[in-house]
Amino acid sequence: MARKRKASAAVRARLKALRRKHGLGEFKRNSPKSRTVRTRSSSFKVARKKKVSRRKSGGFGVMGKAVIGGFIYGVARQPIQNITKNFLGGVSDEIGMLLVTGVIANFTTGQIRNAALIGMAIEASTLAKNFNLGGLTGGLTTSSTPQLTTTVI
Amino acid sequence: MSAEEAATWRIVFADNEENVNQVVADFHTTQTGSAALLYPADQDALALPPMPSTGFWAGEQSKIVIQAKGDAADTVESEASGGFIPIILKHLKSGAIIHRKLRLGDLGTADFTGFRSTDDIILNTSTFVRLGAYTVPFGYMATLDGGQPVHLFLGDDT
Repeated sequence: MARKRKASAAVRARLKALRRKHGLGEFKRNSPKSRTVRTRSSSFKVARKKKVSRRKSGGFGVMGKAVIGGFIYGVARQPIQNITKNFLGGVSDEIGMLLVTGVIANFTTGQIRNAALIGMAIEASTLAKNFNLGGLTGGLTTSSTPQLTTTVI
Repeated sequence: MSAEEAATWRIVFADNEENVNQVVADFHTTQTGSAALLYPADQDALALPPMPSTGFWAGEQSKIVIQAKGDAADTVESEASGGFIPIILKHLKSGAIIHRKLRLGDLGTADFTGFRSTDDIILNTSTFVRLGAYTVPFGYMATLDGGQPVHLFLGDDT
């Protein structure tokens, strides 16, 4: 094993000055640092913080998705109505479309489901409008002229 | 000079086979006949009755039928009869409205088949007899042009 060279007095003085300058304290040879290690008692239980993973947003936000869903429903409504007219007949309008969009919303996900949910809201709103419930507001709404029903021979 | 006949006449909307019939207007020739025949020489246009409105429409290829029941049993001839039936044609695809006057009798557009080529029809006093029919063209539906004056007279050469 190689012998350690002892540092000269000048070097030691320079090192001492440097340690003092940087606040490192005096160099103590052969002084083991004592550390107290504190451990928690095994009976000390803390609820662990759950790791929350956030899903990245689609980039459009809730309002954007509503608008896009509305567009999709507006485009798809007529073709769907044309197909379902054969099965639903005279009920193919609001009630029929409400049923169809409900079924679609139940079995799909993502943007299609979003569009179907918006479609349900639109059909329900149209249905309620057709009931003409203006009388419930006690005359606050203006009366509308009755629609002349047309019959085609 | 033809003699006018007095008759009750009506407008009926029917399907193409004339199985379904719906009466939509009813007149008498004293309302729509003599005074109107002399118009515009010395008669007031207000003498012509206005066409009533109806909620019924005749779809494409349906028929607008004219029927008449005579005040006396007699024959009426298409060449001695005439008139204008105001209707509205609505284009099914665009919704555009066209105002037309269907011409009864032999002259002009002669729109009523069965009563336009020197056709003779025997009227009776108990039942309405079909005079002629106008078929609504493809792509349109038709109804009465409410408020427009109606002019129709029936006559024969005797």
